Amino acid sequence: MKKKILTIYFPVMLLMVVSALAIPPRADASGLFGPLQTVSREQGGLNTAVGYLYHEDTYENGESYRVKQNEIYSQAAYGAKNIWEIYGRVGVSNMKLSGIFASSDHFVETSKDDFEADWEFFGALGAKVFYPINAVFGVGAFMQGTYYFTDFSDHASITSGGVPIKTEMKFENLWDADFGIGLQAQLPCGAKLYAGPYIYYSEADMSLSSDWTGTEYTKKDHTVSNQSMAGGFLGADIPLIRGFRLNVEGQFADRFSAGLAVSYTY
Amino acid sequence: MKKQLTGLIIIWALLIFSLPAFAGVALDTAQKSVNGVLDVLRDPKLKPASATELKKEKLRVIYKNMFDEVEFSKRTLTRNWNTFSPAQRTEFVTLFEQILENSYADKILSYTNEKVEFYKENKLSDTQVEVQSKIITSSKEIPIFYRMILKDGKWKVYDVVIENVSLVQNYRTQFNDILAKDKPEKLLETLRKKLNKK
Amino acid sequence: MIVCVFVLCAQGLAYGQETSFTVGPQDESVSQQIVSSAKATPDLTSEDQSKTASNNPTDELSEDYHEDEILEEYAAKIKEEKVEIADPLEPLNRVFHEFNDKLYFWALKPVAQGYKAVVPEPARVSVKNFFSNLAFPARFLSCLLQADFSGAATEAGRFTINTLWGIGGLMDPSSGKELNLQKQDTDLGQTLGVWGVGQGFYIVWPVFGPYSFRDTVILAGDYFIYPVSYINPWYASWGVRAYEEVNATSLRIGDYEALKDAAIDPYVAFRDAYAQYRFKKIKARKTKLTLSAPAAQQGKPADAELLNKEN
Repeated sequence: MKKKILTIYFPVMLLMVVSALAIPPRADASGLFGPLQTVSREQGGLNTAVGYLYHEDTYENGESYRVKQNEIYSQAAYGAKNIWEIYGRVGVSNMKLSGIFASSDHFVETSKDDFEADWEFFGALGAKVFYPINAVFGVGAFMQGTYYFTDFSDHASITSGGVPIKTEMKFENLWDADFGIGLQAQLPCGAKLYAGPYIYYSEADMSLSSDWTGTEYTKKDHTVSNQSMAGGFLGADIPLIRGFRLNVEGQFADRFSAGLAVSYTY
Repeated sequence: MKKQLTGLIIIWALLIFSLPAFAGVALDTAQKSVNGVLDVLRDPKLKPASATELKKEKLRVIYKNMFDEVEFSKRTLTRNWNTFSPAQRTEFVTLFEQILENSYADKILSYTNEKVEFYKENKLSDTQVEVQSKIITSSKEIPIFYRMILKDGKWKVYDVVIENVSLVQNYRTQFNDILAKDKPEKLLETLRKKLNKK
Repeated sequence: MIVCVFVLCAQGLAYGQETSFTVGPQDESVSQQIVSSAKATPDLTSEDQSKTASNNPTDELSEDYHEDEILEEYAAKIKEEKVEIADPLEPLNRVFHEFNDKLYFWALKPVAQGYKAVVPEPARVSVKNFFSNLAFPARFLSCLLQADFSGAATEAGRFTINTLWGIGGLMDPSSGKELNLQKQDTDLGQTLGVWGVGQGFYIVWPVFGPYSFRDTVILAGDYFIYPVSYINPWYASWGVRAYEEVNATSLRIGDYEALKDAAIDPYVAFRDAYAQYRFKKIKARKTKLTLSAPAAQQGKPADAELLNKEN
């Protein structure tokens, strides 16, 4: 009996693992990059922000799978001389991978196709420098690193030959690093427009586990990462009233991500 | 009827025009005195511990000029003042002044560059105003109001209200309690004992 | 009433004064009537002149104190100044006052001083801001119950801005000049006071400190709307409150000692300071509310009721 199930189950598992290996999980880029120049006052000061980014990307392994994330975060930053800034963020994000549980095998049914995980915490640190060329233009660079404190996990029931097996997919130790440069233009009204390219690296430990009749069958751990991916970003930072500023930004990689943040300058 | 009305208008106009003469003078007086105190406290030459006595002496000059100690003392005793003999009254004023100085000197000397802001003057009567100021420390703002009376053309402080608590009333309650049970001499003795304890 | 006037006049004559009279402690309302009816007399101006003419302190010292003239000059103000709180439990209160005093000097102050030496002031101020931000429900609710809607809106704005852009409440950008959303300094006890409930009598609770009867009753309400109360387990909640108290004390070491030192009778000094502080706050609230809502309640009747209750 056991042997029979094993022989049926094993190919399914293998299939899933193989497809999983090809995933470059884009659990990354936590939030907007923000304007290249710090919004803190010149003498040196604090600025805080709350932001939201809708993040979308794709990965490929013969077929396209789409990952979607909603990231909400709070940031505290310190900058001075209109030149440099360091910042820290804490936030939450969810994750949805479309179609990852789906199987092309007709004999295999899955309870659902998409991986959906709830809000997990992340933290990020970043730094940016800016060099003004003249009164309007300037160039800047930034780098940012993110780490997820908790793991994304979701489970699905895979039925093969009438036997449903609960399978859990988990992403642990997600982290990423971004680096970008860009050009910024300051408009007379005080708004800043900025754009540029960025590169990033992202990595996670993916594991797949399942058990049936109470026994854990296979637990495979793989470190998955993507090759250096590049993209572009474009944004505007507009002053509102009394120290508040609105920042809208778009990030383009395989897919388009967009977000906004409201910052307050002390 | 018309004459009366004109008369009223004239009186009213005179009052309006005479007000500015007083408005602001009390606040200026208080502000000048307090700034004098702050200057002494901020003076780098008086910073070392050896200069403390000299600092206290300078401060004493300023607040003797700023406060009307007799008015202050009278109001803390109210009707009980009349039960004191003139000699007792003199002693009371001196002792009370000394106690206040001893108690608040240290607090004032521990000043470390907080900002003092005078922002308002309220008229209480023809000869009395309340000057409103506040001390801005790093953790909070403390409102300090000076109630001043015009005597011989000079404005002097007769009550200090710190965070809504009037010093005069605070002492009045304490003295009332004591004088309700004992004679004036007992109060003077209590004050003497308190001074000697320091 | 006529008898009272006669007795008072006799007293005044005994001290060799012309037409003035001294005022007895219980007869304030009576004296008010006497004074207001005598308002038209020219005697006042002559007394005034003699007072202002004397520039010699000895003259002032030998003069008797005419409280009635002061009453006449600012009748409403002097009425405000006689704030008193009934103290039927005085012996018991004195015991607890002593206990709290020892608790402060032997326990709270040393801990606060040690804490102060280790933790820099900006951090302690941030912690104070954090707890102050947490106490938002009490202030918000109090504003609503006092029909102070602008105050409630200000509190809501403060909470949002300080939490989202003030690093969870550690910073307080709302109080700055730019945003100028000031903290509404009110609580549930004041709300009852604004509604006209008198302070009641004075109680000194061990550990918690002085409260009026009214404010004691409202303590339960305060407990339920303070988020810290909901921390499980119960000793963690009290631990946090104790920490909050230590932090707050570390920022005002010296205040208690100064008042105690300056006082002739510390117990009475603190009782009076408490009564004045609470009463004036409520009066200020009422004035503010009456100014912003002229059609609403009158402040004065409640004052008179308060004084009568306490006398």
